[in-house]
Amino acid sequence: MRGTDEPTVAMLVSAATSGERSAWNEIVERFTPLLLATARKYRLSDHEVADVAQTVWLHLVEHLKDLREPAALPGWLVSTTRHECLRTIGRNERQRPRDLHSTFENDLVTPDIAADVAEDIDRLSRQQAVLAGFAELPESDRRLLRLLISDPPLTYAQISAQLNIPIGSIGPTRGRALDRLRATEAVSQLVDSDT
Amino acid sequence: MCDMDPLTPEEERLLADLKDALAAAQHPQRQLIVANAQDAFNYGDLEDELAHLVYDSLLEDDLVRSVRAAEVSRMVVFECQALTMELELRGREIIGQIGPPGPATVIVETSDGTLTTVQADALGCFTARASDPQGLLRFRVTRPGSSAITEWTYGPKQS
Repeated sequence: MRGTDEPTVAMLVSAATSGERSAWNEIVERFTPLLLATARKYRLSDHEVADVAQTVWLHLVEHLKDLREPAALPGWLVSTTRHECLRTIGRNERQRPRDLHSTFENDLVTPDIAADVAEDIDRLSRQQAVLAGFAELPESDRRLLRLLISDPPLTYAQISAQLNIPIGSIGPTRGRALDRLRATEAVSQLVDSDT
Repeated sequence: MCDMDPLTPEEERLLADLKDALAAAQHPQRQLIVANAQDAFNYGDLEDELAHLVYDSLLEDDLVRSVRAAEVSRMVVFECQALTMELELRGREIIGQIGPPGPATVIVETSDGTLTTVQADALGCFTARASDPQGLLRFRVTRPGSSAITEWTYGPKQS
């Protein structure tokens, strides 16, 4: 089902653990979206998000060997990112007078208060699952799917020209890419919980 | 889109979810984040000390920034245990001073892999030219007994 010579995340993690730089670069490239979408929730400045991202990746370099299961990588990234965002918020709070209304931290630890907060969290976990699954896909799938959702939308002719594939094969290729995305562990769990 | 193979509702939902997720993952400095993260791999065995960005005129309040913007220049300061490095980035021109003062070799590296070597004088001052004022830059400083490398930073044209 999978493109043959495309490394899986498990292969990338084990190659990076044994010191292969290109594997590390690929991990960063693939998982940065997951990290950024997770950090977005905390409404930090762009600069703070960049700092959080760098801290998380530095931690991962140190902890790569401790990841027993490569499959644990997305979860590790999400929880470490969350932790670093909260640390940044904590630092900010100490530096300015306390806002009476709320802190994002409170919103997160007591998610039972309002429906829209719950919805927000549901949306975030959906984003995280989809991005974790997306990171598993071969490069060709990722490129095609990105083009299909680009804004403003591209025509099939433009996509065909960019990917150098015939127009007629875009539909079937798209179907296979979405099948692969749906079959990833992260996304299949999401689909299960929907039903 | 001329659709000869319409999406199933399920596919449509998944594609919409993906669009929403990737939109949430956008960041104006994505390229910088990825470049610095990729470099993080080497920190463990790198001889160079990493100099962190401690000041950036782009991050100042709006008033100061608008004055700076008029000059089209940007000040950044990097710091590590061995040294500090103040840089003024103006167009393609880079004016730098390393403290404590003293001669040093400075290598200017761009994200496309271009390396330019310049010498800092006895006061630690140097000038260099960026091959691409909009791309990413970093600086490696070597002196007898110490060497340091800065984090990646944008050239002056990026805001």
